[in-house]
Amino acid sequence: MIVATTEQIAGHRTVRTIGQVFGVVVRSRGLGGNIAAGLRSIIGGEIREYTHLVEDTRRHAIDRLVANAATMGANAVVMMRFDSGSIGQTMNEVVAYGTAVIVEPL
Amino acid sequence: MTLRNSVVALALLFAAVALVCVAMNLAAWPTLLPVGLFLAGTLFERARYGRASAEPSGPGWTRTQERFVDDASGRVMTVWFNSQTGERRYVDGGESAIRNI
Repeated sequence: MIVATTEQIAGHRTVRTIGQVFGVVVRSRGLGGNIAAGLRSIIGGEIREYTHLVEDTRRHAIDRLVANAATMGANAVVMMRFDSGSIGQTMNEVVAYGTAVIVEPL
Repeated sequence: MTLRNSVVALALLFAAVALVCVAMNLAAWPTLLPVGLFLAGTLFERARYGRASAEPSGPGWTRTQERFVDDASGRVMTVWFNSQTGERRYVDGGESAIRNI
């Protein structure tokens, strides 16, 4: 499954557009992680606990996007974008969305 | 990890103090509830998503060209994809990142 942020995939042509597809996930650190992040923010610098959180959330969202696209019979997702937000003070929500297509090599 | 260990140690200390209070006076048992929650939330924090797994075998698995540096371990991870199930798996590529940014 090719996931691209562009409309076209180099060396391939789109033979069928299936439709929109997305994968969404909401994640949070546990109590210990949030406390550690709060303590780290007092000193400043990278808050590794939240870096890990947002990175994990994006990977999880892409995995769901790919699984949904595969269910639709696609072999690629083009124009993939992320959209993110927070729910409450500690929860991170990410949606990865795009267009599920079938491509073939040129 | 050092900071997290400190938070775990603090949670254990609170738990010990709460247990002493309850031992001295049973009426203090409600203090165990928030302390227990703090301890459980610290000790049993869910593992990170997408941990490295062994190279998958079986039908449908292919290695993709997607690679990334795992920020926790500094190892280069390779993504495998199963076209039959739509599952993705992260495999340690066997090399460390040149530089951790």
